[in-house]
Amino acid sequence: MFSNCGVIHVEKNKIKEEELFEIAINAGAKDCINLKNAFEIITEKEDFYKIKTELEKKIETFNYSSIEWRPLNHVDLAEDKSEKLLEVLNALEELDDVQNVFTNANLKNLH
Amino acid sequence: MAGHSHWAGIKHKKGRADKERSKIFSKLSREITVAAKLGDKDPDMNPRLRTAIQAAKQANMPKDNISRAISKSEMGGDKNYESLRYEGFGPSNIALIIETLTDNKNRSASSIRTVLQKKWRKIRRNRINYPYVFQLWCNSRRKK
Repeated sequence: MFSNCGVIHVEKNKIKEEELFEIAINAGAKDCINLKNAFEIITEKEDFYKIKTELEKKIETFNYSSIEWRPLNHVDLAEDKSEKLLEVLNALEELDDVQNVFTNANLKNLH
Repeated sequence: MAGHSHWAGIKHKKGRADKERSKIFSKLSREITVAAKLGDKDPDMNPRLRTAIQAAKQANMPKDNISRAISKSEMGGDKNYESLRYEGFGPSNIALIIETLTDNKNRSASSIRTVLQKKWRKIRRNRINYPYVFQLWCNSRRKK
């Protein structure tokens, strides 16, 4: 239901799209996506640190990078439901032991 | 559509009150401690530690806190963090993955369960005759 993969976000003004994607693909990235405010590199979990080290040669810092659980299929929720789910997520995050929470729902109010 | 809904990338950037900031710091420093414990103390040699430190810097965590978290790993001490993953399924086909780093897995499991039961009841209140319960599985597979 979920796949474990590495995610790297690079700011758009740091590097050109083609250049970044070429480095990433050559290093073994799974997918490169052009998001609204960042480039996103998806990697296998095992390759994450390898690819990141490769990219660090070109770019000093990343917007965001971590190993995530990405849902294979998203679930659409109505607005009121996604608000409540957000409440649950927030409450879970409040717990000291919890590091990360991932969900397969599309949270509308986060867009 | 990928990447638009994920929660992990957004949560640290959202404006949060100071009280919650310290919570984020404690989570980030826990990850730093564990990363430093498992590998090299030098971030240049330890990519996991490097990633953890970068995340901490992005959250504006003070340098002191970062170095304190690293030195904590050398002390060894009585706290042994374990990495556990919980998976939950609920109404409307919602699935959750909850990653934890804890020194007491009984506590973390029961607190997660409490939150889900309390909060989830709210979600399904309007369809009470639909007896979904949030189910929780624990994969006690250690990370690395």
